[in-house]
Amino acid sequence: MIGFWITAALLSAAASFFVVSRAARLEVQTEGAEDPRLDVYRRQLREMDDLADRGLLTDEDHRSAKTEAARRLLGAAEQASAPVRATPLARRLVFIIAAVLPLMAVAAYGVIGAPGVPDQSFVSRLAKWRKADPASLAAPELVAVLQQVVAERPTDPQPLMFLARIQAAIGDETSAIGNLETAIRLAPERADLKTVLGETLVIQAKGDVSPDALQAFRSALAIDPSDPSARYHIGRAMMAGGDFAGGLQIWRSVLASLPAGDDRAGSLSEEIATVVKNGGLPKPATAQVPTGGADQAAFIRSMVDSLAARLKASPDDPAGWARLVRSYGVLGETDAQAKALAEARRLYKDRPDLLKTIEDSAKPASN
Amino acid sequence: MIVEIGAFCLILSLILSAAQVGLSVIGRVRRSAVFYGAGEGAAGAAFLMVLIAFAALMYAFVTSDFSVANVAANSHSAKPMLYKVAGVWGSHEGSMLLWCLALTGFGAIVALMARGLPAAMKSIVVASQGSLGVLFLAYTVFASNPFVRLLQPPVEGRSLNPLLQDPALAFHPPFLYGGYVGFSIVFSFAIAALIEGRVDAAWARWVRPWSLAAWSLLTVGITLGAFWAYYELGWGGWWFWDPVENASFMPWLIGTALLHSAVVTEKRGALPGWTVFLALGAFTFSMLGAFLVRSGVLTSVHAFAVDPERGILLLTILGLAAGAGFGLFAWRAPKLAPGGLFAPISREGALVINNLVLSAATVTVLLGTLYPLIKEALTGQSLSVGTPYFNLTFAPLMGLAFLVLPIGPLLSWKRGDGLGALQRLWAAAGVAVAIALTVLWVQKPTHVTAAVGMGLGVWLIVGVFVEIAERIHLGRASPAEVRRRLGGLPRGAWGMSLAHAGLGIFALGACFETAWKIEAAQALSLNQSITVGAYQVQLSDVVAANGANYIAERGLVTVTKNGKPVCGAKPERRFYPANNQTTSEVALCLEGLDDVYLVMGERRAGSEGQPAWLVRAYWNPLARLIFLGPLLMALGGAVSLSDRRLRFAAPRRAAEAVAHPVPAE
Repeated sequence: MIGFWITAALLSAAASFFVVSRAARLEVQTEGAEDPRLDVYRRQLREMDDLADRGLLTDEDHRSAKTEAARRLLGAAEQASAPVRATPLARRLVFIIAAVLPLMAVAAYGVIGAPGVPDQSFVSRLAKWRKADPASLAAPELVAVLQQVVAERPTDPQPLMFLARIQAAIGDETSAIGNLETAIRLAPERADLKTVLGETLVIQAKGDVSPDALQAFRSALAIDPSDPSARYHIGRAMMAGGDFAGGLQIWRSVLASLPAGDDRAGSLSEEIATVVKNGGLPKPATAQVPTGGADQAAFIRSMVDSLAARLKASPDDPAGWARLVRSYGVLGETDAQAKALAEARRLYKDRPDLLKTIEDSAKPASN
Repeated sequence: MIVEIGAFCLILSLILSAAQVGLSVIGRVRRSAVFYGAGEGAAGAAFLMVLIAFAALMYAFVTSDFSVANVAANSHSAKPMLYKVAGVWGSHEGSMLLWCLALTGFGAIVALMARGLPAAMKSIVVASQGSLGVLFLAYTVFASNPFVRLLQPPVEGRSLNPLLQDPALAFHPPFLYGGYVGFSIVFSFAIAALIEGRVDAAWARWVRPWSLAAWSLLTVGITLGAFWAYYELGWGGWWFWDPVENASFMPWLIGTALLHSAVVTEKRGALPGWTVFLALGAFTFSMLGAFLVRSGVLTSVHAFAVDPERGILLLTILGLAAGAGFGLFAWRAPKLAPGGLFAPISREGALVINNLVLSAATVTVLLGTLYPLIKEALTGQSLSVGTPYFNLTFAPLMGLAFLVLPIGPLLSWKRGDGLGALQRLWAAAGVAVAIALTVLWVQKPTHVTAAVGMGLGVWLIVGVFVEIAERIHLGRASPAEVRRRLGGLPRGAWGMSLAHAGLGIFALGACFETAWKIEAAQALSLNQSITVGAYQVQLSDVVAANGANYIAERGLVTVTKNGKPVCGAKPERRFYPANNQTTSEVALCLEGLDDVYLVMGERRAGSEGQPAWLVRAYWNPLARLIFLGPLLMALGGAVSLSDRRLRFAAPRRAAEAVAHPVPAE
């Protein structure tokens, strides 16, 4: 902060000095100066003579052009007037004005500027996030951290997979797929990477198991025939393709193979019950995919929930509200976002400056 | 701290600009050298402060400081460095700062470096420039401040529109603004002339370098913009009569008229009122352009800020500045002393025709640009004025200008020999007609207007050679004398010849390309090909090609002609995740002056289910002339500007040291 004011003071002093020194210099320079028009016309006259010497102007043209230029010269000489000399009062006045200018700037800056707000380069913020506990970071912050880790360890597929999972969870499936493809090129023997790729393709296709996704799951099973997620999706694809019984059979075998205490077992058995009741799959848009990607979504979900709970307990935290509103935006939960925003508006109705920041957080695509 | 220093300096520059006005006006009223100097010092300091503010904003962009709202909205940490830097002027707020930088920069140059100006007149120029500075800086500080901070900075920025992430467009705005804002100095000179009541030959000579510099920068800026549109938008066109393009073209047309009328005022003292009118008009049209692009009244690929509130403020600034200028003109112009007389057939007469045509052309473009807006405002009906309108109105006017152009430089001042000039141009006319007829006969399908346009282009180019031959007495004097005269030609004359030839070259390229370009499009699987003109275009492979902030599919395309390879081109289809936007990167295959222009579309299923890509290929004959011509024109401006007689700050001793004879232009 003190560095800012010292720099501002030095720059102000330089500006004032500029004004005063130029005033002093010009006072000396302009004494006895003649009207520069005279010089321009003298040069024009000389040019006429040069032209005539070289035969480029006829005598008649030369005479009339020269008369015209000479008339201008005389006219200019008559109208010329030199500046008056400075009085001590003028000097004092300039000095005072030069001194007052920076004060006006400081006053205006106090109203418009943001004194004391430090620079926040991306690199410095990234360094801070890397030092922080990952659980305390928002998903986009995790993405930034992991992107840096990936850049540092370009041959390691693991951070690529983590990065891809978070990207998929926050809706950037295209980047996630690109990163998974890179990871698979680095470690073609890893079935889990192929499964995650398949899952991400399914998320991208809003629940549909596309041919590319099916291909990814099949190649995962070729390495690890027991992979539950790959089997689940292949079963799903079979049901969608009309082989309901075959698909259901696979799902049941997946359920049987899940170890005790696996979170996915509950949702899968519910889903089996639903399809059996309906005699087919629900519409893809409503399909819930019990995938590894869900772990990531759950992770983000729990983070957001804990933030919401914290704000309920101690609501006076504008930064927290901004983050909550933004997180709901990231998760696409517009209702929850509107609710949080309404609550923030109620809390900060007398603080439009704080409220603006929170409302800005609700704007789409700000992170 | 650096960002806040920038914010502080921006405010300080506004206050210094206000001081620049006050001090210079007091200086003029009291005829006091101290106040003159103080006003000039304030102009220099204001520029210095905007420069620091600009550097601070650039720092914020380069370090991806997303606590700055403008950086968060227009940059991204993964963006390549060039576009981080160009991002400074890629947004509305940043581009206003660039505008202010140019405005105060030109003001500072006049204030601190132009020594050969009468003190009283100079003080008004400085005051006027300061007033413009106050208007635009106040707008920037209060309505469009690029240093607004976010208390909760987002993790990532929203990045710059991928279409703008392009080298030609990175440099397009600095040139364009240099041109736009360069006319502000001309505007201020006009204000000074009106207040002083003197528009004379000396004034015209002082104004000419500024109008030349602004015009040259604007020419480069518009050309870069056209080139960008040509290869980035992927439509194969280079000029769309888009309102934003027109917004930059109108000041250029008026600036061109001004360049020519200022010559008449300088050489003969004639047309003083008209020259001042054009000087006011050029910057007014520049401000109109700024308003049109930013107000939200236009929907255009280029209109990057859509904000009606800011639009009204900009309209107010335009109204204040132009209103003051033209109000002063209405009051003072009738009192200006009339200049020298001239016969209708004379150099002045030809330049008057040039001015009439250019002004009429500007009005035509203005109508075509504003009429749809006015119509929509009044009736609610939207209406599109496109190429057919401009072909019917603008093109014939330009044809007339082209026809007269080579004759003008061959006429003498005051009273010219029209018949003699035409006789000297018979060769140019012959070549032009021959070319037009040949094109008409050879080139199919037949395009009469394009053939006429090409004939006019040749008429201009050969006319330039005839004019130079006349100046150096080629064929009439001894070789030694011819060489001496050639060496003695002033740079101003060379500049004029380059600019006129550039215009002819542009006309050749524009007419040929527009009339005879060929397009072909087809979904191609690997190793399939299409034919465009004489070229075979084969899609050899498609590979992944990811950049720092995009992922892409790159087509490897082989272009052959009669079985011989011409080039390997690499069109791309890019996806920018930060913007969730897809762009086509055109590949250009340069063959002589022609382009084979290739665009690759998205992947789709081919006839047998195999992957295929829509490939569009254009053969754009003589396309390079379209961009080469205007660059030659700008070069002509630069060469003229280097003529020592035009140096605005030429000290007296330089004038006295002119030892070589300098013929008139």
